[in-house]
Amino acid sequence: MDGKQVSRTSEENVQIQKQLDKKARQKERIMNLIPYAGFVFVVVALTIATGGNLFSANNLANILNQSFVMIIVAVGASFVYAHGGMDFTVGASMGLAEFVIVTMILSDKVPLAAALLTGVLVPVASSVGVACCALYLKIPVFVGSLGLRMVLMGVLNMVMTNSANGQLNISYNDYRFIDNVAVKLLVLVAVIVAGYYLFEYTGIGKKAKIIGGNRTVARESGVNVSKYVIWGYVFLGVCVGIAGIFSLFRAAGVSNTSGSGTEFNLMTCIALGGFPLKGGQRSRIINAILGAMTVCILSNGLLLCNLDANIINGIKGLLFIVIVGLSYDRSSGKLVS
Amino acid sequence: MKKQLKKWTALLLCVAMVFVMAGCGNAGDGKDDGKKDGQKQEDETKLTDTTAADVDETLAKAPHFNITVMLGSFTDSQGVETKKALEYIEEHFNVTFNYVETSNTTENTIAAIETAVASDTDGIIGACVKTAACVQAAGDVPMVNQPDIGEAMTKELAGKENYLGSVCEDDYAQGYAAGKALYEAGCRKVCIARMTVGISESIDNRGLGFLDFVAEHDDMELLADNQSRGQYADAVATFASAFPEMDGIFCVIANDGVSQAMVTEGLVGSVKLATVGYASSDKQLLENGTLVYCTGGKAAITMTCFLALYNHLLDESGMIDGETKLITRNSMEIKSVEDFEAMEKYVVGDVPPYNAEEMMNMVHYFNEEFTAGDFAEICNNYTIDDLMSRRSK
Repeated sequence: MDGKQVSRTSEENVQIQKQLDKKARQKERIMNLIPYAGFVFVVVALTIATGGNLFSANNLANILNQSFVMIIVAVGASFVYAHGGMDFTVGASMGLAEFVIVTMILSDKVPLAAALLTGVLVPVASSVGVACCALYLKIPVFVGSLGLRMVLMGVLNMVMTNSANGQLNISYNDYRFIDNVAVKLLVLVAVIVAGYYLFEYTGIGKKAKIIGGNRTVARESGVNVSKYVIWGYVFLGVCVGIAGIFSLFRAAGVSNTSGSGTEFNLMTCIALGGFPLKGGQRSRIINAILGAMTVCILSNGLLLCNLDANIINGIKGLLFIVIVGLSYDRSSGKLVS
Repeated sequence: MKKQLKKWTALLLCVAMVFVMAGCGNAGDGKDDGKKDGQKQEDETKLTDTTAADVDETLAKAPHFNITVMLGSFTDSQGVETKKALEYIEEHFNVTFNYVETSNTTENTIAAIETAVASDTDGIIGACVKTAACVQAAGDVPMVNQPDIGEAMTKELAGKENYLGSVCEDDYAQGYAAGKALYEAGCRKVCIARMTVGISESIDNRGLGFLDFVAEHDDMELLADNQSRGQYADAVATFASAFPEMDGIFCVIANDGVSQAMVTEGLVGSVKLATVGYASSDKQLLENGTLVYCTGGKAAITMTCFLALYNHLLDESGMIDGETKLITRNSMEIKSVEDFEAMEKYVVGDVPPYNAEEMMNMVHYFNEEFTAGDFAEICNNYTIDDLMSRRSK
C-alpha cells in the first residue's frame, strides 16, 4: 500500500506456493465432485418426488432405452470435445444415416449388415467434413459445423419429402431383436469399454487432450494435430451411426425430424457432466456419460412427477445453470473455445 | 465473499426445488380411491336429472382415472384453449390429467409414452403417433391419437387392441375452404405461406387443399409458395415487397406475427388473409375486412379423444368405429366478427365447446342409448352455429 516491496525468503516463497497448490488441488477436487453431486441430487430428489417409481423395474428399462442414444453419442463426442472441437451435424447426420438404412432395407436388395454399415458411414463422412472445414479451410469449427448442419438438414428434408412425404416406416416386429434391452446393454458396454480404452490408453484420446490443452504447444511438441483431430471426429461419427441404428429400430421409421436436437442435447450432457467444453487434460469420458445419464434421468423423472411442461423446462434450465455455474473453470478462458 | 454468496444461493435454490418436486410428487395422492370398485356402481350413477349439481354428483361417483395428454404445445392458442377445456373436464369428471409436451421427433414421443406408462397412467390421448412403435410403447394402455396420421398408418394401427383410434379435422377441406373464401372476397393473385412439406401431414394437407382450389380456377394465380419452418410473418413481409399485385395470402397456421405483419407491411385494405386456426389479434383483422377466413374451437378434438378413451375405460364402449378407426371432425369456420365473438364466448370462455352435461350424455356408461354413430354425428355437426344453438338452450 505504501509502495514498499515486501521481501521474502525462498523458504517463505515455497511455503506460499505449497499453500496455493493445496488450495488449487482442493478447488479442483470440489469442482470434479460437483457433477457427481448434481447426479446424486437429481436421483435422490426424483426418487423422493416419484415415491420410488423412478427405480421401478419398468422404468429402469425406460431409462436405459431413453439414455442409450445419448450415452453412445456422448462417448464419441468426448474425443472431439477433448481437443476443443464440437460438431453440430450429429443430429442431421443421424437422421440421414437412418434414411439410408431404411431405404436400403426397403429395397430388399441389400443385406441388413451392409445397410447398417453404410448407414454408419454417413455420420463418419459428415463429422470428417466438419474436421476438414476446420483444419484445411481454416473455418472456425462452430461456424463450419453449423453450416454443414444446415446443408444436411436440407438434404434430409429434401430426400424424405421426395421419397416418402416426410415419413418412412419399417416393420417394428421384424427388427425387435435389435430393439432389445439385452442387445442394447451389450452394445452400450462394448462402446463404453472401447471408448474408455481409446480415450485413456491410446494416442487418439491422449493426444486429443494435449491438443485441447494447448494446440500450439502440441504441434510444436511433434503431435500430428490434423491426424488426431480427424480420428476424434471419425470415432464420433461411428458412435453417431451406432446410435442412429438403434434409434431407427426403436422408432420403426425415419422422418425428416429424426435426430433433430441431438446436437444441443449433447452439449447439455457434456456441460452438465462437468466435461470441459474447451477440452484439455481435465477431460474424462466418465463425465460425458454422467452428463448423459443426468439429463435422461432428469427428463424421465420430471415426467414421472406429472409436472407441468413449463415447470419441467424451468427446472431443467435452473439445474443446468447451477451445475455449470458451480463446476465450470472460469480461470482458463471461455466456456466454448 | 461473492463466490460464497453465489454458491449458497445456488444451494438454497436446489433445496427449494427438492421441496417443490416432493410436493408435486405427492399431489394427487389418494385421488384414485375406489377406481376398480366403481365398475359395479352403474345403478347409482345413471343419469336421472340434468341439473348441474346432479350432473356433477353423478360424474363424481364414476371411477377415477389418470389420463396422460400429449400435445406439441400447451402454450400456443390451440394449446391454451385445449388445456382450459381439459381443466374444465377435471373439475367435473373424476379424472386427473397429466400434461406432456412432445416434440416433433418420434423418439421423444416414444420416450414420453414409455414414461407415462411407467407412471401408471390409465390412458393416453393426443399423442401424435407416426409409427407403430409409438403404440407398441404404450403396451396395454389404451390410447387415442390426435391429428391425421395418414391412410397407411391408420390401417396399420387399426389392428392393435390398445389403439382406440384417431381424431382429426379435415385439414385438406380447411385449406380448400380458405382458397374459396379468398376467391369469394375477390382475390385472384395469391400467395401461400406454409410449413416445410413433410414435417406434419395434417399441415401439409391444408396447403394441398388450397393449392388444389387455386389450380381448379383458371382466373386465380399462385404468385409464390413459401415453405419455411415457422417463419410465416417473414413470408408475409417478403410477399409484400416482392408482389405488389398480390391480393390474397393463405397461411397454414395462424399466429399473431402474421396478423401483425399484415398491419406493419401496409397490407390492410389491399390484401385479404385466410388462415387455419386463429390468433388473439384476429378480431381487428376481421373488423377491417382483412381476414376473410380462419378456424377455431380445436379444443374439441382433444375433448373427443377424451370421450372416446373415457367410454373405453368405463365400460369398454368403442366410440370410434370402422376399419380405419378414424373420426374426422367438422372444423369450426370463423368468417365474421360475430363468429369470432361467439367463439371467444363459447369456446375460450369458462365452458368449453361441450359442457359437462353434454359430455356426460356422450358417455355410454351414463347414457346407455348412446352409440358410436351418435358420436360421429355430433363430431360432424360441429359448427359455430351448432355451438351457439346449444348454448342458447
